[in-house]
Amino acid sequence: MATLFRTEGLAVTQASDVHGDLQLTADVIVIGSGAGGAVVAYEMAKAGRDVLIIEAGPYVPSSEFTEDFTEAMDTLYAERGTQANVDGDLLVLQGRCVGGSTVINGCVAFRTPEHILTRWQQEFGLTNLTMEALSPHFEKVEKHLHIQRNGAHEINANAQTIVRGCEALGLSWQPFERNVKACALTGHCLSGCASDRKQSMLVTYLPWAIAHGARLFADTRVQRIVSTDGRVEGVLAEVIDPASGQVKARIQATAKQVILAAGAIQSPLLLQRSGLATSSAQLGKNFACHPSTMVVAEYAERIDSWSGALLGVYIDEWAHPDKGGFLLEAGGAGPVELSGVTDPGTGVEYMHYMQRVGHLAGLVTLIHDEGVGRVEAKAERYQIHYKLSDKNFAQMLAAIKAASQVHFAAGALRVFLPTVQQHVLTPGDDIDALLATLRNQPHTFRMVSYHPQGTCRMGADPAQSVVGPNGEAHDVKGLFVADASIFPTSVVVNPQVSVYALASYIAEGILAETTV
Amino acid sequence: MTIESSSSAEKATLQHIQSNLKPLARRRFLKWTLGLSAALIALFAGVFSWRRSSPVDQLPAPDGLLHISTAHYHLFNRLAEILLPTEGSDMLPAEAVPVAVRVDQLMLGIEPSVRKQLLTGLSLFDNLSVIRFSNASRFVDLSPEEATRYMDGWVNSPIFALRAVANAAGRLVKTAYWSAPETWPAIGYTGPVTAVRGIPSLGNSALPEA
Repeated sequence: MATLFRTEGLAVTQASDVHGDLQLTADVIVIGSGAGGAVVAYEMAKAGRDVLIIEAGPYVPSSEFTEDFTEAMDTLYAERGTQANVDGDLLVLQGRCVGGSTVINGCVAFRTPEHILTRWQQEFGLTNLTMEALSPHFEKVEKHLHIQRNGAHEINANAQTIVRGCEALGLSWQPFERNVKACALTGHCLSGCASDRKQSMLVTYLPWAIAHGARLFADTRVQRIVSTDGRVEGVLAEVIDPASGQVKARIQATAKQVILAAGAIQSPLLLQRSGLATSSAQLGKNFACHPSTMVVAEYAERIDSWSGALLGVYIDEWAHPDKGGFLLEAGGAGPVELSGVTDPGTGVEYMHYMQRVGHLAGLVTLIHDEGVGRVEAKAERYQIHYKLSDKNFAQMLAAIKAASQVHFAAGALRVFLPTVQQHVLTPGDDIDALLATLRNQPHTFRMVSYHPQGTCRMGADPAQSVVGPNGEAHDVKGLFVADASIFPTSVVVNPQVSVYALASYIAEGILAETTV
Repeated sequence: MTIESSSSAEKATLQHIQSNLKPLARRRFLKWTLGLSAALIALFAGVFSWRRSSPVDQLPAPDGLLHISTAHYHLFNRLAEILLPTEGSDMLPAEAVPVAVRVDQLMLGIEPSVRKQLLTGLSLFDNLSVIRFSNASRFVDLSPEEATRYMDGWVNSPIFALRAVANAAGRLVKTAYWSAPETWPAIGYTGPVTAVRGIPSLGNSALPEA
């Protein structure tokens, strides 16, 4: 198998390689090549299974990453970076390319918090998902993905500023752990890592799966999962010419097992379009997303928040739900992103803000939100319905207040609130009075989510969940889901390691239950 | 029908429309965000029928615009002038960047039905200024001071639908401007670094040991 391993790039079948309809067979079909799909594909292929990976997005090798965020949105992100909720006030950013969101994330690596697993055990009957049971999987993926705590050289000026504020207030902070090898400190993680330092699926599990014989089709959109008498049989898919958007070929693929790992938006939509896994009436519901804002502040000194490691430290003071249920992550950004995270005033005030963009430091708020949203398939499109609950609105206010206080403690001259309305704080201003003027209605905050979760939730009760404790759909034998859609609740922390570990756990279970 | 002068009867009609905005804010507007509902647009059809002409309407737009009309092209250029003033600084003047053309390109990424609704909302933005100011001008004809006040009014409005339209317009214009690399030197942003620094690729990670 070692002869199939490439030291760079991937052997991918793209639309340009397909010249007619295809009928394919495999032991296992994996839908999606992101965090969940790549891990399952590798584990299955390594065990000798014939694996077919189908990815809707294009294959973009890292040699084509330009480090231009606007271009990256066009080529690597779902809906060219414009995927949003129905109200239009929450941008839901996901990767849509070979490697999925692992290609465009910030490398932040957290294990699933133990209190989250405890809640899943108690409320959803997932008594199998103990830290003891998952630890071997966490350890394995952490080793494979070179996950390590940030060193001192990876704490950039933005993060050092936030640390200064934490120290002044006596707040608990930690360096991030990240899946990166010899980070080149470019700060362009969200546009893809051009030098392959980020240990995304593009340079780890996917080339490894292919080395073990897995086949990978890009530009290929699964239209329907096919089943008969409650057992999965395969998929129907279309190869789409990325230039024209036209169907170039159709694929009929059969397998005894189908692993759905298209992410928390596309996985439930595909099941809805297939008319599968609907008996609990939970499919597409319980959508959570860690709605985030960026609280930026102006400092006297130059910070250049875009320089160095994108994410250096985080504040865990309020992470536990009993203490607030939110994280604050010190994160920088380039001018294109910073141009839209706040509005200090029309015209002159705004241009002054941008003229001082090198003096801005950022602190990202990340809320442990309730699963109050849903995704719904429409004829040709889909809709994401999501509004902040009143509880989460209060958490958002608390997180913004906390971030503002950290900035001022660090010496900020002005704090720019992440609201659509124009709000700027100076030292000594009454934050509470200002926040009290905000109402829980659409277009109050400038929200972004990188963490959609929960739309095919896992649980022991078939009446209350879409998949069982082993990841298999309650309604369809041989159909498994292995992505963030199976989370019964949001996980508070950046979810990639939770997905890797659960995918590894699910793969192990499938291999233990079935033989070739 | 086009208003060529603001007669007392016309002003009365416009005031009537204005008075209807508040109840709309509580009812229809609650369902009107970036995706403006067709029903609401129909309600505002009267406003469009009273659309005031502007000298800007006679100006050409470049060939090849895919998503925005000539009127929207000039609206986005005026927005760029108002939102991105550079006088007295070393920042690149907005007119040196083809902001409206870049907005047209950005529109490609927006789902067609949302795009259509957003553009309708922007037409509303342009035209509703006739009832805000005594000179009954469209946004594209307002003085810089009036245009700034008008934009502030929409962005800070208690009606979230107005905030949504103004914010979307602003984000498009600002993204179009700041994504142009020629705007970066003035703010000290150096852009891509991997190729510049000659950072080598590490390639694929080695296969895990068995």
